[in-house]
Amino acid sequence: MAGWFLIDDKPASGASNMAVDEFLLKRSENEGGAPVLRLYSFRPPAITIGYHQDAECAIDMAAAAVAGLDVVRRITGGRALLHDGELTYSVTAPLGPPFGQGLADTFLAIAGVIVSALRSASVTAEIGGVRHGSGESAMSSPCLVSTSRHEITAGGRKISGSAQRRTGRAFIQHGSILLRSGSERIERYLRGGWRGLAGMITTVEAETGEPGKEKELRGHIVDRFGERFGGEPEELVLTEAVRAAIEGAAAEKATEFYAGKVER
Amino acid sequence: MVPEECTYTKEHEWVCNEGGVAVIGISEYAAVELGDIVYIELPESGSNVKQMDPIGTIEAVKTVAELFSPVSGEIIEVNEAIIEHPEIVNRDPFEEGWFIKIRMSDPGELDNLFSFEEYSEFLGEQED
Repeated sequence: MAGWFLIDDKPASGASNMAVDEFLLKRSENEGGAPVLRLYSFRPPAITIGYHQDAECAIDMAAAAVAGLDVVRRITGGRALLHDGELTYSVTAPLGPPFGQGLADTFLAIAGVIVSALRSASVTAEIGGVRHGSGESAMSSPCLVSTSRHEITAGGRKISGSAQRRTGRAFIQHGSILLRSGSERIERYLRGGWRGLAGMITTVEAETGEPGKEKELRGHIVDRFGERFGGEPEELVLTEAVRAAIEGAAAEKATEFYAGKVER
Repeated sequence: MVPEECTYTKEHEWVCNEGGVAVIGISEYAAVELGDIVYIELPESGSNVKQMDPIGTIEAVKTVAELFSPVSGEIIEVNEAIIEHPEIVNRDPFEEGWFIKIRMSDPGELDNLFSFEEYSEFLGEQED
């Protein structure tokens, strides 16, 4: 049996990306098996909102539509995030080893991998260490303002955030790593007049002075994940039939659940 | 509710049997581990559930956790106060912060759950 699986994915729409992750969580819940690390990005850029957020209250949907942004709902917690100029990851696995049973154990284990990968890419990253203290808890505030215990920072500014969903037997953790400017533009689409996000966050490009490090960072994440959780990965190939089912779910949910305009 | 007289699940829910009605909530361990709870989603009263059916979700700042019914039966009451004010659960998970009441169709299912002592042991193993 593989120690863990990798999906080094191509850019996709918000609904497709979320449908794939939902499939992976159900797979872990129903079948167990080895952890899956998925690396991906969004094309077109998309705003994802937390599972319980009210899209209309949090986001100016008309402005987002004019800008050509998808607005989609995550199955994980947290708040709104603009996926632009960033790398997204998901980790899905049964509860328990190698991540630990507890919530904090899981967040810390995965944060450790991301910090190591960022350091390998010459970013002086650490867990915690946020210098600004918004303490903001309004559901309309941007995800990147939040200062929870396991956020990853560089130079006192947030560079990566994460959120989880836990079922009875499995979990999924979503995370976003800021590569270059882009995500801070979410202020344009948030209700509530948010300003100043750019001063609270940093990016791989800003920290290293080097553009275009996404491929290198993907490689470091895969290497560090393997060192921590079990060697070389096996590629998880989603069959055409599974992909078709996922795309069907995505299409359906793009107009229902993920559009944020109807009942969850 | 007397913690020592309740039963528990490995998903960190507590169940107190009050004359055939199961009062259900989440343990202090779960409330502390989740952190500040910001949203709770529960089913309507009157619905029937089976043991381990999903019955809702609970969201802390960064985490959505699914809730499962520890017993089978009819949901006869939902704590509307915690839906309006989820922070009650962080403050008082064992009394004011109860979630739902279920009229049990098979109280024998409680035998499948942890006793207080077994749950305490389970928590000890989690922390090892």
